[in-house]
Amino acid sequence: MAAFLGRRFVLASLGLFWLAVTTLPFLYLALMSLKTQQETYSASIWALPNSFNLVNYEEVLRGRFFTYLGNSVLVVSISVALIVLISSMAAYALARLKFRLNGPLFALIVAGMIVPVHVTLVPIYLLTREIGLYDTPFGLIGPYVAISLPISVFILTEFMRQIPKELEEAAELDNCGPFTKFFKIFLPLSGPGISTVAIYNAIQLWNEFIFAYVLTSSPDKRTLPLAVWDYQGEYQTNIPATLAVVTLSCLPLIIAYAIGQEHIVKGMMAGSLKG
Amino acid sequence: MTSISFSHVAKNFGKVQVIRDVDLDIAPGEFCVFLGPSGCGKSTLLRMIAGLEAAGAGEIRIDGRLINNVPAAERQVAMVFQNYALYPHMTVYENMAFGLKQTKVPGPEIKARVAEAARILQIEPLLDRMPKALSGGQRQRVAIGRAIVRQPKVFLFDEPLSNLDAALRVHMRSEIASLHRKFPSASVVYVTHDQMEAMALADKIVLLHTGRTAQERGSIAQVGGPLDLYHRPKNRFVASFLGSPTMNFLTASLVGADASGAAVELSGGERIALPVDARSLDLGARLTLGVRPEHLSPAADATAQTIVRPVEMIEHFGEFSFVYLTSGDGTPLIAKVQGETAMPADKTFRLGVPAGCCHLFGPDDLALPRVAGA
Ligand SMILES: Nc1ncnc2c1ncn2[C@@H]1O[C@H](COP(=O)(O)OP(=O)(O)OP(=O)(O)O)[C@@H](O)[C@H]1O
Ligand SMILES: [Mg+2]
Repeated sequence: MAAFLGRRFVLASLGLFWLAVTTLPFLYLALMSLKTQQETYSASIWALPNSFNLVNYEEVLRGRFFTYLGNSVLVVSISVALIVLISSMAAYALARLKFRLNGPLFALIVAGMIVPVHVTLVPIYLLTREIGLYDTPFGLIGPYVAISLPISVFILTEFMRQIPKELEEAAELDNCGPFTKFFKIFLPLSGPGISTVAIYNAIQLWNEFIFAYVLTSSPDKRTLPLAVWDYQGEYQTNIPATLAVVTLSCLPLIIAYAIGQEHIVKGMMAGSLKG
Repeated sequence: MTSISFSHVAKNFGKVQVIRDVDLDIAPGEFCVFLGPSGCGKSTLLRMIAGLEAAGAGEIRIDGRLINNVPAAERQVAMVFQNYALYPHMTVYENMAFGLKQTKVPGPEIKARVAEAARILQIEPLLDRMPKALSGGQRQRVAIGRAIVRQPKVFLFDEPLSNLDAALRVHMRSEIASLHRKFPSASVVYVTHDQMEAMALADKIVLLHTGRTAQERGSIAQVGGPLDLYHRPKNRFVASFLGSPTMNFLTASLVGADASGAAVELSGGERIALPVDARSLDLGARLTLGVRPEHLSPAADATAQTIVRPVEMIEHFGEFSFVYLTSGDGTPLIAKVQGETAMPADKTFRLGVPAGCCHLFGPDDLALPRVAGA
């Protein structure tokens, strides 16, 4: 009994500790964004804001925030849709079809995970200029899909391998060709795996900075992670406004998480198809 | 009316030949059971009929039509899988209707067929449930329902009852039998490794074997009605596979053979006469005498041929008892005796060995032929 209580105590403490590690930076961010520019310089950086002051938010929202938000939503939603479609189809083929280069092809795709994005920056920059997509939000979609595919294909292939073979055979007897099998059986049954992939990639791409920075230049074509640029001048930086814009960019993810939390957790623990 | 025929069918997985030289005819409307030990290729054979596995060699015909290259969906067969394979994301109704939708059966007819199948299987209240909200027996019914609605020419079952508990298994067994009576024109091919199930259900049992004998003689050990296999096993494998407890095998040497029968001498010196034609063998040949435990009985009269063996142990089941004895050469011997039996004072048992129930296996483990009229 004592041991049991002791274990619960340790677990609870670890949980609280982790909660602190993850939320304190965000709390700090949100609190600092309420300070005036004056306060940031005068008071200690640990001091609480003097008053509940939304002046930074006003400034941010009066600026180009909604343009960035729109671009981010556009780029991320199209990219994630493409990633889910392409990676689930690839995963189905890799998990279930028998063809000669199946193994090597899977290995090659998965090896894509170890390519650092930075080495691809210059060629992608040149290529994007070449095909006329430089400085458009759409120029981001190609690289975004490409860098996300390896891990997505990997996750979904492993997932689809778990789907019992008999289900596929039952579908075959039920007159399903490869496409019907994919859309009517594999896709619905991969729901948890697909939500994992969609959520993981949405978060990654929502926060993606380096491609957005390299492949766009005009402010009205840029995505949210670049919004901080607006408050960083050559001679001075508006720190609280920067923090306000960062807080605002986190907000959609936090809201989405709050709404979809149950799904997300299920997705992360996906893999069992029993029942 | 549908018949299925195999001629010279073989199947390899890589270098391993799992099915060898199968010749088999399944008559229209027949309930045919594939029986055999684990790994002998029962499922593989069934899956070849379904079209889920290609035949490596030979020809498979349904109603005379060669189907080796016909896609699974066009063979008009329906299969019930061991683990049911219900689509987990569809309701019971959708599970049953799915195949019909895929084959473009008109909507009202789908409704009617599903309703009819649900009525037959008594699963009407379950139609809106998801498979995970069903018990094992209910899932089994849905899986059978999914097969029925397709109105197939052939029903294929791959160990459909093996995931159910013992009581439910007996119940579902009788339901499957009555289902077969409701659809008399469809043939049924049913895979099991449970001999009780096979004996209870089959019109025809196809007993498969594996290993070296399968390599030499083909995968089929014997085909026939349940009682044929029980009373007239063609070889030692068939004799030992059917029946529980398994048949007793005693070493014997041939001491006489003529047109009316043969006589053998057991290791204890007893002579047993039996109506078997052993004239092809030399006197003194080492043979195996087979006799089922249920055919050994405490000898009532002194004229019957008997053997006397020491008793090791007796197990009582009320209705019958198992008497465990030892033979002179150390081979165990079991007798299944009706009613209760007390341990005799001298710890030996005199057992009658009825000639008509004895089997004699040659050095190649094949049963010797019966003399005409026996
Ligand atoms: N896809 C496959 N690849 C390689 N070997 C296979 C494959 N499928 C089956 N086998 C082998 O073929 C043999 C027959 O398999 P099968 O499933 O038909 O046996 P079974 O009689 O149904 O056995 P059980 O009673 O255990 O279901 C086994 O030795 C098995 O290992
Ligand atoms: Mg099997």
